[in-house]
Order: sequence, then C-alpha cells, then structure tokens
Amino acid sequence: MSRGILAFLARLVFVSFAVVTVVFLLQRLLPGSPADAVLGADALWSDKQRWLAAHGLDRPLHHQYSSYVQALVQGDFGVRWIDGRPVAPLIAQRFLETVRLAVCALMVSISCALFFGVVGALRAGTRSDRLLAVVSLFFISAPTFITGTIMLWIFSVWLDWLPLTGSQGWNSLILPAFVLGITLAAITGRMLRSSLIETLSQDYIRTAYSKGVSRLRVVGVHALRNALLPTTTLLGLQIGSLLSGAIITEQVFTWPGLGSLMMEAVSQRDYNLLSGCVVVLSVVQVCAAALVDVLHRQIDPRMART
Amino acid sequence: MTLFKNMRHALLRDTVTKLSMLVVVLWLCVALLPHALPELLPLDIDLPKTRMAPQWNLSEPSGWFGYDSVGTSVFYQVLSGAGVSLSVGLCTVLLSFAIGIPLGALAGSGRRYFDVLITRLMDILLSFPPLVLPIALTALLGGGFLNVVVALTVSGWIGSAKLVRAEFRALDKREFVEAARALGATPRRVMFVHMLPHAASSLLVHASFSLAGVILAEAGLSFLGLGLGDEHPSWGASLSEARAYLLESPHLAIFPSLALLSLVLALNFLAESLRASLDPKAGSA
Repeated sequence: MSRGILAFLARLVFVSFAVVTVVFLLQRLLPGSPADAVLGADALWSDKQRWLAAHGLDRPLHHQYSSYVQALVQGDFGVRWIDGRPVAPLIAQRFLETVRLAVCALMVSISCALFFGVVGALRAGTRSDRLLAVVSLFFISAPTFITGTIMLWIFSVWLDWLPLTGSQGWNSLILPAFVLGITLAAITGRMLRSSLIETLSQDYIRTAYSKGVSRLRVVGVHALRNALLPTTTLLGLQIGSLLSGAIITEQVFTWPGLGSLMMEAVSQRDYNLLSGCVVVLSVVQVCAAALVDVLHRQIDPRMART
Repeated sequence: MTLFKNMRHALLRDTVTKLSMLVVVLWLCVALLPHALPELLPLDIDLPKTRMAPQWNLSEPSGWFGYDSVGTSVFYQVLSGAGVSLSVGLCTVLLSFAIGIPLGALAGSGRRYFDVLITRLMDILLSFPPLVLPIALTALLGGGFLNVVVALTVSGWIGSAKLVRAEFRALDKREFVEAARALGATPRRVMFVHMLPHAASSLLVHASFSLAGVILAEAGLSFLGLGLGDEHPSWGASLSEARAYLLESPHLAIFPSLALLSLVLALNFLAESLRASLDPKAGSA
C-alpha cells in the first residue's frame, strides 16, 4: 500500500513538474518579446533590452528555466510586470475566492445530481424522466455565460432579489454557484441515473426487497452506495471543468477569483501573472483529481486491491 | 456498410432526432450562405439605428432581431455567426482526429515505448483544466482563425486518441486480427484496415459530441475576448458585448444565445441518439 502511495506521489510530482515546464516553454518560445507586450512594439530598443535585463529575460533559456523552477518551488511566482508587486499573495487571495465559489458550486452540483439521478432512475421511462433528460441536456448544452446571463436577468434585473455583480456577502454567491454547479449536476445526474438503474436490477436488491426492507432504505442505502461508485470517478474528472467553468462564470458575475485575475493578466499582457494562474489552476486540478482517486480506492474495496 | 445503415436508422428514429437533424442542416446552409452570396448579409455600421428594438417588418429582415450598439443588424450578425462557429468547430474536430487517430493507433499498437510516451503526453495535457490551455495559448499567440483552431486542437486530440488506443488494445488478441497477421498483413494494414473500422462508430459519436464541445469552447473564448477578432461576428463575442446593455436592450443577448443553444442542443441530441443506436454497450441509457 505504501509503495502504491509513493508511486502515486511520484506521478503527481512528475505531472506538476511537466505542467510547469509546458507553461515556461509556452511563455518563452512563442513569437513576440514580452517587452513588446509591456512597453509597446514601437518602444526604443535600448529600453526593451533594459526591461528584459531587469526581469532576467535576457539570459540563456536554461538559466531562466532553472531559476523559474527554483522560485516556484519556494512559492515565488515573480512580480507583476506592470507594477512590480509580487504575484504570489495576489494569486493566493484570489484563489481563496475561487475555492469559495467552487466548493459551493460542488455542493449545488452534488445535491442536484442526486435528485436528477434518483428521480430519473426510479421513474425511468415515464414522462418525468423524459422531462429531466431534456432539462439535463439543456444544462449540458448551455454554456455558463448563457445560463448565467439568463439567471442574472431573471433574479437581479427582473425580480431584483439578488445583487447584480461583485462579492458582497453570501447573497452574491448564490447565482454563480448555482450556474456553475447545475452544469456539472446535469452530467453527473445522467450518469448516476444509468448506474442506479443497473444497480436496481441486481439480485441483491431483490433479496433486500424480499426481506421486507423499505423502498427508501433499499434505494437510499443498498443501491445508492454502489451506484455512486462510478460517479466518484466522474467527480475527479469534473474538478477541471469546475475550475475552467469558474473562469467564465467569474467573468459573468464579476466574481473576484482566480479566473478573473487570469483574464486581467491576459488583457494586461502580464505573462508572469498569467503563467502563475495557469500553474496554480493546473496543479490544483491534478491534486484534486488525485485526492478523488484516493477517495475512490477507500470507498471501493475492489479498487484498493489492484 | 452496416455503419451507414445504422446511422440512417439512428438519424430517422424519432421526432426529436429528426428535428435536431433539421436544425443542424439549416445552420450548415446558413453557414455556407455568406460564402455563396456575400452581399446577402451586410454587417454595416449604422449609428442612427443604435440598439433599436426588434421590429417584425416582413420587408426589412435586418430589423427582425433589432440592432446592436453600433447599429449593425443583429439578425445578420447571428446568421454570419453560424459560419464562424461551424468552421472553427469542423476544422478543430478534423484536425484533432487527424492527430488523435494516428497517435492513438501508435499507443495502442502494442509497442510499450510509444504507449508510455503518448500516455504521459496525454496525462500532462489533461492536467490543465479544459479551457485553461486554449485561453493561455490564444492570449500568447493572439486571436485569429488558425490560432483558435490550433489552441482548441492542442487538448482536443486526446479524446479520439484515447478511444482508438482503448479499441486497439481490446482488439489486439481477437481471432480476426490474429488471422490477418497470420495471412501476412503488415502491422499498418492490420491497424488501419482491420482494426480501425471497429472504432468507427464510437469515433463518429465522439465527433458529434466534440463538435458541440468545440463550438461551446469557441463561443467561450470569444466571450472572454480571445476569439477570432472583431472582423468575425462570433456569437460569444456578441453575447459579451450584450452584457453591458442587459437592462435596456435584452434582445442583444437573447438572439445570439438562442442561436448557440439551438445548434449545440441539436448536436448533442444527435450525438445522443447516434450513441444509443451505434454503440451496443450504451444500451438504453
């Protein structure tokens, strides 16, 4: 078991390292000098060289790479190009906001998925099941910037119940969390439905019924526990969708999270900040997926043996 | 040719599927329209008509969906947006398949070296959250058709490669493959003539799902301001512009949303029914 964990950690480190390398190479090898982006293409050549030297960008590529990795390992993401302030505290602060949004969205997603899945499976083939299927497909197809805009229009403009934008208290968290969560819920719900239908047709469920166990207990305890297993795998894959969905959702609701920060970096052409955001988002996704994998092994004894 | 027979069966199965088929075909025709008759969809700036509400005047189609913040007809914008969405979508899916299928075949061909290399590459690319790599790439490369397609392909090829790899590994020990090998077929012939057709139906389903996904991703990039640029009327860009006038002129947001939704929903419905009838493992789910 401990050997498995070691191999697992090694893979985690390898992937994170590779992510950092890809981000570094993207930044440095793509055409166009960062000095052009910051100072403007028609700035003086000597100014550009001075700027490059000040940020250590005139050194050979492998020197830049080793100092970049060294700094990252120590939690130093460099400075913002526009004002020279360190990037790391900014990313940390914005990241907490994104986590707040993502955790709430995840809770929305799980509760809605349970509802979609259980109702869909118990009423399989009926009209309510088909209605749920259409609703799920709508939310799978509709991007968050459309559902978000619709929700904003209904709840903030028309009914005037919730604040339009920003992050003033928990009130302004409701809409973005719902919009972000419901898309994932639609996908998970469909998956839960089919795995629950399959589980409910198994022999041990019939045995439970014949012993006189109530329907609520059979579905809620006996069936759901097994039906949820494939869904946890999906959850690991969805952490990524959650994070990238957050980028667009944050733009729609002007939520001050990591996604908004990333788009600020894009519009200011601050590639240091941009790569910091990309590295954090990716490493978080890798770690979260790994965590879900460990969780899956814990829940499913068949997986632990392999 | 059973694939095509099954496909025909799948596409004419029920009303929803037929309707989705109709929607997709209609949007395809609309997408080809500006190429055939460029003067049909004028995207002129007309400042006096700034943000005029929709008017249902039959003789003047340009006013049907109202006008945007510089007085361009929203109706013509929505129609031209179909070309952007579908051309980016189709090019990305084709390019992804052109990269993903050979790499998947190589990984599934049984040579461990390639397998490890390609699987690791996929692992690395998959560790970026879905939209993050395209955002970073278009931000660094700049917008434009080719850059958007490339940015979406970089992580887009993984799906088809995984599919082909899994299929090839499953087929490797089957009798007909051994028979082909015993008859002296070269490895390449075994892979592409004998094994690949078995993956065709799942690849087709994957193609229609990923077309919907790519169209959404392009709209998302354009919404974030990283799309094809101002000269191309993308639905995502229209939506992002409409957000500023949500209170006064909701028509700016409604029509591009409906267009995008109808196309993506139709593609997803099609993919769903293709999967239901082409993939025996999927069953009724």
